[in-house]
Amino acid sequence: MPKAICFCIVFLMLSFSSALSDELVIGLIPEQNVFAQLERYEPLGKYISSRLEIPVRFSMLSRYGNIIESFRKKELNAAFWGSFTGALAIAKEGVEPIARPVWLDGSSTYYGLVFVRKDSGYESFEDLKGKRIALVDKATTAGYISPLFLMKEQGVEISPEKFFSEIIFTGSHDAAILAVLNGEADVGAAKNTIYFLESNRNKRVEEELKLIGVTEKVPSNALAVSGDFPKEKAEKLREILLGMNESPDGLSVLESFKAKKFIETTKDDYIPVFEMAEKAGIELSTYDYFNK
Amino acid sequence: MRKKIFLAFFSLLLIFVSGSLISSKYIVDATEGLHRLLQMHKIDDMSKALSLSIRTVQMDLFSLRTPASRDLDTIITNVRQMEGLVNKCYSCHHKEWLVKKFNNMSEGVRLYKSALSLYVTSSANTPRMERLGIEATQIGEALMERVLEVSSLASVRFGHVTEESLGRIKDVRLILLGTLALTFLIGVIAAIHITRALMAPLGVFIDGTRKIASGQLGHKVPSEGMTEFRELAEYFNKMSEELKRAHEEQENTNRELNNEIIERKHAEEEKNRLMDQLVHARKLEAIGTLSGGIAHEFNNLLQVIQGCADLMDITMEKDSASRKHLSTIIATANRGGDLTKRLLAFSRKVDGESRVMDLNTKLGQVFVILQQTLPRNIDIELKLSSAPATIAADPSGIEQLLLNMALNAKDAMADGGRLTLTTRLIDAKACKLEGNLGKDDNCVLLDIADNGCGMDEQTRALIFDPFFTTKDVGAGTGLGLSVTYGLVNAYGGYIECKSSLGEGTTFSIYFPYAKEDVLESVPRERQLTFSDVSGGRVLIADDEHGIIESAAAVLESMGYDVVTASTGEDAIEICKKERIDLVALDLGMPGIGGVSCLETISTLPEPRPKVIITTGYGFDDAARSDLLKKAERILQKPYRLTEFISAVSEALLEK
Ligand SMILES: Nc1ncnc2c1ncn2[C@@H]1O[C@H](COP(=O)(O)OP(=O)(O)OP(=O)(O)O)[C@@H](O)[C@H]1O
Ligand SMILES: [Mg+2]
Repeated sequence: MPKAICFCIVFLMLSFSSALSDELVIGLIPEQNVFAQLERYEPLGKYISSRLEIPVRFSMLSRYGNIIESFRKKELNAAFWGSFTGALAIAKEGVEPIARPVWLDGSSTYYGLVFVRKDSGYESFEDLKGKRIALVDKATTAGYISPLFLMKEQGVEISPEKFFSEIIFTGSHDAAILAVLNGEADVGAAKNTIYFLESNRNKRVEEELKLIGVTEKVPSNALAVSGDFPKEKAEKLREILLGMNESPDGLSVLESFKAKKFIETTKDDYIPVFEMAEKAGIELSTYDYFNK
Repeated sequence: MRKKIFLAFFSLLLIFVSGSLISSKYIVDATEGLHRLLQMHKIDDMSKALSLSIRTVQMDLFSLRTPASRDLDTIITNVRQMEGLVNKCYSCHHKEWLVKKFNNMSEGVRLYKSALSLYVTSSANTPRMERLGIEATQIGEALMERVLEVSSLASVRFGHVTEESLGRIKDVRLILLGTLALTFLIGVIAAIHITRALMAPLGVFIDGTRKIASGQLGHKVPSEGMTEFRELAEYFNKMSEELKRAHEEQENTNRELNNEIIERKHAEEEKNRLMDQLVHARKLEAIGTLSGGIAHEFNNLLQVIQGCADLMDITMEKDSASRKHLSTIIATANRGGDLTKRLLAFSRKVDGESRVMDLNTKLGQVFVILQQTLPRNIDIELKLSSAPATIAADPSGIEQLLLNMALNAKDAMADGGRLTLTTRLIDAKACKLEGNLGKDDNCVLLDIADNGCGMDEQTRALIFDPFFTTKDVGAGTGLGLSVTYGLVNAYGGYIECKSSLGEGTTFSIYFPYAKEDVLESVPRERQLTFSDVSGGRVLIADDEHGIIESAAAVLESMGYDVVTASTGEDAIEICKKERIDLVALDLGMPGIGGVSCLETISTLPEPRPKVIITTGYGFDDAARSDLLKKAERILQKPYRLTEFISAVSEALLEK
C-alpha cells in the first residue's frame, strides 16, 4: 500500500509538472470546502472524460499568490472560473468561455449576499463601521467585488480597509459564512449558491444569520479553455456540456452537480462584470488581487 | 471371514478418513489463520500507510505558503487517500467496539478535512491563518493518535492471530501423526488376526489334500468355522468324493476289460480245443477210410480161404490126418474176419442194425457179466438215471462197447479199484453234441470212470488210434477204443476222455436221446435149416474167382443151378437172357459195379431175380436200409458157406 501511495504521489507530481496534451486538466477555484467541491465536480469530470475519450483531472487553484499565474504555471487546459476571475482570465490570459451551468432554480447567474448574525442587531451598512468583515477573496465577484460595489453604491464611500476594523479573507464562501456564524467576523459576504447550499446543510445558517444586502447578478462559474486550446476540441467540449441534459447519465451527473443543464457562454456574457469592475474603478488587466 | 476383513479395512478406512477429515479441517483452519495473518499484514500496512499519509499532510501543512510549499492538489490527494484507507477499515470490520474506533477515526478525518480546507483556502490575515494552521495540525495529531491506537490494536491482534495459527499448525501435525500411528497399529493387529484366522483352516485343507494325495480318496474335511471355509470345505469334500467315484469307475472299467480279456482267452482256448478235436477227428476218419479199404480187400481174401476151407470140411473124410490143419485154417480165417470186422467198426461200417434201446437195461445186463468176469478186487458201481436212457443203437454194439471200456479199466486197475458206470439225462446245452442235436433235444451221458493208473497227455491223445496200445505184444491189439470210437460215432454220439496219471480215467460218452418210437425195431432174422432148401437157378456175380468157385461148389452140391458172372454187365446180360431166381451180388465188382447192377436188376420185369448182396465193406444204417429195399439180404464177407446157403435158401423161400 505504501508503494501504491508513492506511485500515486510520483504520478501526481509528474502530471503536475506538465499538463499533458493527452489529458484534460481542469482548474477549480475553491469556493467551498475543497474536498466537498472536488466530490461535486468529479462526476462531471468522469462524464466529460467518457465523452471526450481523454482522461480528465481537476486541479485546485490555490488563492495563495496570483491565481492567473497559477493557471499559467500549472499549464492547465481549462478552468471553471468565477465571474470575476473569469473576466480577469479573459482579459489577462485570453481564455475562451465555453459553457456554464443553469442552476436548479433556473438561474444561470449568481449574486453576492451580505449577512450578519441575527443577534448582532445590525440593520444597514452604516451599522457596520469599525466592525470585522469576512470576505472570500479579492478575486471573487460575490465574495468581494459585488459586496464592496453594493456598499459603495449605498454610501460607504471610504475604502474598506478604513471602514472595517478587520478584513478576513476566508478563501472560500462557506468559510466566510462559518466565520460570521462563529463570531470570528461581524459581517460576511458570500455567493448566493454556496450560502443556500450551506443553509441546507447547516441549520444554524438560517437560524442565526440574516441578510442585509443582495448584489447584482453575474454569470455563474463558466468553463473556459486556455487560449492555445485546439478549437475543434473546444467545440467538442461545448457540445458535450450543452447536450448533457439530453442523456440519462448526463442528467444524473447534472443532478449531483446541483444543476439543470449547461448553456453556451461567450465573452459577451462577462460584459456586466467588466462594467461592474469599471464602475468599481478596477482596471482588470492590472488588478492586483493579492489578499492582504 | 469376509466380514472380518471387511470390518478391519472399514475401520482402517474410517480412522484414516476421520483423521484426514479432522486434519484437513485443522489445515483449513490453519490456512484460514494464515490468510487472516496475511490480512493482518495488510491491515498493518494500511495503518502504516495511514499514519504515513497523515504525517505527510501534517508536514505539508508546516511548509504551506512557503516557497517549498507542496501543491494544494498533493495535500488534497493525500487526505483523500487517508480517508479511503479509513473507509476501507469499515469494509472488513463489523465488531461494534472496532466500528466505534473507526467512527472516531473517520470523524477525525472529517474534522481534519474541514480544518484543512479552511486553512488551505484562507489567504489573508496571517494571525488567523496561523490559528487555522495550528487547529488543523492539532486535529491532525489527534487523528494520528487514534490511528496509532487502532494500529496498535491491530498489531496485538496480529500477534494473537499468529500465535493461534502456529498452534493450529502444531495441532495438525499431532493429529496427522496420531492418525498415521493409529492406522498402522490397527492395520498390524488386523493383519495378524486375519492371517491367524486364515492359517488354521488352511492347515486342515493342506492336511486333507495330503491325505487325498496319499490315496485316501473320499477323505472329508470338517465343514465348520467361517462361511467361506465352510463353502470351501463343501467343495473340497465334493471334489474328494468325485475323485473317489472316478477312481472306482476306472477300476470297474479295468476289471471289465480284464474279464473280457479272460473271456477272449477262454474263447480262444475253446476254439483251439475244437480245432484240435476236429484235426483229431479228421485224422481218425482218414485212418478209418484206410483201414476200411484194407478190411474190404482182406474180407474178399478171407472169403476165398473160408469158402475153400468150408468146402474141404464138407468133402474131407472124417478121420483124415489133414482135418487138424483144416480146422486151424478155418479158425485163423475166423480170426482174420474178426479183425477186419473190428477195423470196419472203427470206420463206422458197423454190422448190425440200430434200434431204440434203453441204455440202462443194457448196463444192467453187462453189470451181471462184469461181476462174474472182473477180478474181485474191482468194485463195480452202477449209477443209473431214473428215467430210461433211451438211445438209437445196436444193442450188441453197445454191449461190445461197454465190455471194451470195462476191460480197459480192469487193465488200468491191476491192483484193484473201483469202476463206476453212470448214466444221466442232460439237456442240449450241457451236451457236447453240438451239431447233431436240435435245440430241445435231450442227451444221454454215459460216464465210465475208474481210479486206475491213468494216462499222460501224450498217451491220451493217441488212444483212439487203431493199433495204439501200451500193452505187451499179444496182450492188446490197440483196437478196443478204436472200435468204441467207431461205434459211438455210428450211433451219432461223441466220446471224450479225461485222465490224469496215477489218479484214474473217465470216459464220457454222449448219445442223442431217442424217443421210444423213433426207429421201428427190425424183427430178428429167422433161424433156418437146410431142410428148407428147395432148389433154383442162382447167379453168382463176383470178380473174385476163388469166391465164385467155393460158392458155386457148395450151391451145386445143394442142388441149385449155378450161373456165374465176373462183372456187373455180364450179370445184367444173364439176368435179361435167362430166368434167374436169385443173384448173389458182390458190390465191389469192376465195370459198372455192383450198385448200378442192383439198380438195373431191380427194374427188370417180373419175375425178376431176388438179390443177396455180398460185400467186404461195411455200411452205415442209412446205406444198409437203402440196399435192403432192393435186395433180400446183405451178407458180410467173410461169411461161412453155411451162412451163405441158408441166406440163399431163405431168400428163395420168401415170397
Ligand atoms: N481205463 C484206462 N486206463 C488207463 N489206460 C487206458 C484205459 N483204457 C485204455 N487205456 C490205454 O489205451 C490203450 C488202448 O486201449 P485199447 O482198448 O484201444 O487197446 P488195448 O486195450 O491195449 O488192446 P485191446 O483192447 O485191443 O485188447 C491201452 O493200451 C491203454 O494204454
Ligand atoms: Mg482194450
